[in-house]
Amino acid sequence: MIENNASANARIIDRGYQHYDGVRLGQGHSEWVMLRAALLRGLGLRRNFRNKIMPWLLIIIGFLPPVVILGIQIIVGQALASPYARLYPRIDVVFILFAGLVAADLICADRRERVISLYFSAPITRLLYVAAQVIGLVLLLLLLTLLPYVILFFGQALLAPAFATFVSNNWTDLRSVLLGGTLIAFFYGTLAMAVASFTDRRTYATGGFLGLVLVTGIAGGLLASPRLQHFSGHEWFSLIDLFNLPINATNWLLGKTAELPLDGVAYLWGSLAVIVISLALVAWRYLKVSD
Amino acid sequence: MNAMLQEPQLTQDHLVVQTKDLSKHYGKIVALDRATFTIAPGCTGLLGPNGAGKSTLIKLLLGLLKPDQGEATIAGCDVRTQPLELRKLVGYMPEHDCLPTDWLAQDFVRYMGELHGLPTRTAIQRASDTLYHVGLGEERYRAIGGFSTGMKQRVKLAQALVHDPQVMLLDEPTNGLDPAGRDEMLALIGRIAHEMGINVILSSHLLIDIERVADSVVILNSGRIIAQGTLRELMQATPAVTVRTRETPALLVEALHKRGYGVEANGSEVQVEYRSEATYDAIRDAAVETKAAIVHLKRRILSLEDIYLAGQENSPAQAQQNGQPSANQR
Amino acid sequence: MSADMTGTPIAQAAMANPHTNPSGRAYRGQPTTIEVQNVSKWYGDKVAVSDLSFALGPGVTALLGPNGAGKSTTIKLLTGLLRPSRGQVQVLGQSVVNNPKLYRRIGLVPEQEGLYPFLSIRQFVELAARLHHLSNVREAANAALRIVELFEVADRPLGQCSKGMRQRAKIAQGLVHDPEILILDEPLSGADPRQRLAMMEVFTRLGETGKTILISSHILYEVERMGSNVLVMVNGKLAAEGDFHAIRALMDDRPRRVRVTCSDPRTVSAFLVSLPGTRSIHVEKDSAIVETAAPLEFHLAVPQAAQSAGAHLYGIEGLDEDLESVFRYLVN
Repeated sequence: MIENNASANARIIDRGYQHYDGVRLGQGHSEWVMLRAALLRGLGLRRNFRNKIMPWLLIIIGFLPPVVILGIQIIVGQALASPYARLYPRIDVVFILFAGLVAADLICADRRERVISLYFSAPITRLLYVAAQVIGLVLLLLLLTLLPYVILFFGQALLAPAFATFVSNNWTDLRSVLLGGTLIAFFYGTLAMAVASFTDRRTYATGGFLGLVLVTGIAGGLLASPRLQHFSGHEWFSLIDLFNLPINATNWLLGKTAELPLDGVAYLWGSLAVIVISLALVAWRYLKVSD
Repeated sequence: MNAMLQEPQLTQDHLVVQTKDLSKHYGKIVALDRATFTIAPGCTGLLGPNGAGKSTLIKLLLGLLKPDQGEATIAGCDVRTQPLELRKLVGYMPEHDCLPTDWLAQDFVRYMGELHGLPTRTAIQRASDTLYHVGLGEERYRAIGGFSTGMKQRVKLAQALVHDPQVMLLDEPTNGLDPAGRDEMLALIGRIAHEMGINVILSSHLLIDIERVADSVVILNSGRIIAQGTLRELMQATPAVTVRTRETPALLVEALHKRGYGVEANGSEVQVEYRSEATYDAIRDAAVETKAAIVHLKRRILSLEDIYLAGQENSPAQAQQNGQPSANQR
Repeated sequence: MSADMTGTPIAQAAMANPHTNPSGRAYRGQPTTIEVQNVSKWYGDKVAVSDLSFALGPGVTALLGPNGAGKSTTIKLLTGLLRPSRGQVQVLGQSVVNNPKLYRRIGLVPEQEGLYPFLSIRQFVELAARLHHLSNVREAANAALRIVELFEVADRPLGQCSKGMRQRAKIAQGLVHDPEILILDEPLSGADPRQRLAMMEVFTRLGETGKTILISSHILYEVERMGSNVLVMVNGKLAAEGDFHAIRALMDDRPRRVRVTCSDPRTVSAFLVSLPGTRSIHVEKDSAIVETAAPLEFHLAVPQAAQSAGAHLYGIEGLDEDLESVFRYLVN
């Protein structure tokens, strides 16, 4: 507020346009701002109610496993040992839905509504923009793939007769959950982003991602099935099963390899390969996109 | 009217934009061809037919495209080597729809401020102030999706203004606005350029808007600069005075002939040959003598439209332009 | 036929009055082609247009109004795309609702996009020609394409065209069947200055050849150049109709503002203030702005006042005679 027109008894304060001579922050600040926006958007915050329903519903469902397992443990009095390998395959549909919905939400609308031309005329690089969306989605997915199971672990530890003993006996599980959960989050996050980066419409992006995962899941499952023994090496088809690929890798990490057609480490490499390819696709699409 | 390239009046430091031999092609299509021009502080209009290279030029000036040849600086930054710095100092209002429908106006303008480097607290305050200055009051806390065209254009303007740029690039800012909205938007742009001290580069097909608000123009055709200069210099006075009378001007014309002035009549409008200030007196006296009711009297000056069209006719591209409109309809 | 009174101020003023232009009346001496009688359209509680009554005939008429005034609804009602909730719309003597044969004689150039991006410009225009059952599809399309200056680039897909080109393609499809009535909604959108002038020329000529042209536009200074006949809508209702100069003449509560530029504004003003019609004078450095309720007397008096004052008279300029000013007065 600039004061001009002042006398002993009165003053008029200039409410006109004020210039800004202060600091202008750099890319780090911009990246944080975009990341924060992605996180808020993924959770449906600062928007109308409709946008909050699906993500929060999925989050609530995602937190059910620890609640149920710990609840049963309290009621029945008996601990369920290392339940993770049984939980992940059942709950991963929630991860997939969440990834498909939020990825589409984060990047399709910006292209469809052409807001992207405003973003790219701001002092940020395209890479920074894409990174914020990917990191945002992965962080949100970690809420589902990691947090509930860490809670489950420490919940079981608290319910166990001796906290420290439980932890030291089972810390490999915790380690596997941390690694596996992160892998799953990156896997579905980057894959969903890759699909979403090819279309401007949210429904196509989500549908495309779900379709891709389902189709490869079914095909991979069928082709790798023990019943198809006519040609050797058919177990390798289980790698195209994008529905279960990171889950299988996590189960291998957890040491539960009984049902896996292939040696578990293959799934780990497969997952990492998909993550790298997905990131490359997203980067390529955004280097090309015109304003 | 040949190319009117003006010598830059100001020193290097004061020029808003400066280009030299700026060229860009897409395959065989030449979008910009050795464009060399300067833009001085104030409000400058960017004109030219569709396909003349205006959008390419704007993208180059925003650092979104790299030139194939030549150089350009805007707000003191080189477009090739300093694209990020220049975007901190430049605000852009695109022609097309570009606002997210589910953001609140205040949130979005704040976000754009933050992306341009403003700290969050500052961005919140400036977003609120900027939205107020462009004429959006309480509506700023509503989702953009529900806004009318006029309100959306104001939000677009606000996001270009929030970070206090040195230069604003406005592309067809009156698009879709009704007459009142156009008037307000032009008044706003005028205030931005002349009261708030922010340089404005305005691209528009509505020459009347440019005449109203701009101090200078740069005119393109086929990727080349065919004219540039201040409106004061370009819109010169012609040797004619336009006079319109209520009834038929026949008697007035005769009286002027008697005083030795050539007159060209066109219905109830006449053009009187201007020789000197004495011409005005001759018209006045002739009117009194013939009891003519003069409804309009003005020295005829070139309009921006006159200048623009003359420039287009002389441009090399005119030969390749689409042919004349068909003379009859059936 | 009675003597042609259509040029006199009285007739013009009468036509400018929205309440006394009953159907069947001669429109500038020619039969009307479109008649709207007490038309209203509502959607539940929302009233889009209310009690519209007007007539249109050959020549160019501008449909003006703020955003949301009901212009698009009116256009849809005139072309039969909407059925009125009440009242009737007669085009060329017939009801326009559910009357496909009539569409052959009406051309519409809408504002909205929604063109198929994979069609080329030519295909799009030829499609329109075929839909109208024209026998010489190719020639008609070529003629239309030439008028809008798209003939050379007609094979480019619409998806690759600029907004201005798509707009002209829309105009071509509206013209291809040589309709008697042409309705255009912001037809110059996206066109560059030269294209605008060319298109305005086309519309003016079409109007002169006897077609009924209705143009909805916000760019008043362009509309002004195509003709003086206007329909002004505000808030779903008709606010004024007719020649806008005559409409201005009816606004006698708004005195005319005229700027008189001279070498001695103060002395000249002293002479002008004594005119009975003068309401106010605002003296500036090199001019005086006078409000007068008696413009004819005023314009007669100015040269005399300047002569008597011994001042050079550099300019006389009406400040609120143009369409923009008239429009502003009507809308506020």
